[in-house]
Amino acid sequence: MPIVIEDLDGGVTKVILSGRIDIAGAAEIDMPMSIVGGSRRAVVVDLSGVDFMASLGLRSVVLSGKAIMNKGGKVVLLSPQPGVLEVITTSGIDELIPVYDDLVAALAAVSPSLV
Amino acid sequence: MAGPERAPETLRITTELADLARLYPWLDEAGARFSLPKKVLHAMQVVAEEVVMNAAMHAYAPGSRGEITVRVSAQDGVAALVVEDAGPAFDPVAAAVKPPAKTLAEAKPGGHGLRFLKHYCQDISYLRTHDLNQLTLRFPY
Repeated sequence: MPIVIEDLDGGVTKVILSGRIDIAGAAEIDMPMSIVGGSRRAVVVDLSGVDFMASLGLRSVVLSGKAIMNKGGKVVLLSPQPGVLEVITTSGIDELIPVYDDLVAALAAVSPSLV
Repeated sequence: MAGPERAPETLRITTELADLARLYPWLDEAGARFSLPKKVLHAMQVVAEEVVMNAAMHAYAPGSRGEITVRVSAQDGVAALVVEDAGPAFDPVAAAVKPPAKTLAEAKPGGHGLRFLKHYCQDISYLRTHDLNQLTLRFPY
């Protein structure tokens, strides 16, 4: 399963995506990401284990992020590999969902009370 | 770097989800056969997903089963990806790049297609031929 959801202290949720988020991978993460979007308010999406992600994977991340932000929550992306980061910056999504390389900084961005 | 010409690799798939998922392993095999650099293969996969999914979602009537043909070739340091569908004429090259959303609330899922094509490809050309949309994308390496 290319998605693991960990609820951390302080109301923060870490979503760990991994492998190839291609057509099949996106189909697997769509529902869990939708649930995260509807139920969590402080979310770090860890992309460090994602080898491939393009439009379909971004779509799932953006939809979930929109749901979180529309309810006053915060979402950030963590440590994408260079190829995935290039997709994110080319799409302009990094202007809408901040990208961090450091877990502590990412946690602080979604839940300042943790630091 | 001139080299002997190899016949293009060809994949014919339908718009069924399980069939579309064959695209990536097939691209991996085609990339290996043409010894494409990893970065070029990655660019080709990002663009291929965009173009093939766009054809699957928009070229054919909802619920119908259409066919998409994908070809990969490489020669003299340029890899080419050709995608054909039999939908109504549509030239993505003529479409304007949409400005990016300023906030996540404004953002719509998708819509990055032409931006990806222009970023990852050296050259994009569209041809309407034999009632097919034929999009050719070239990647230098």
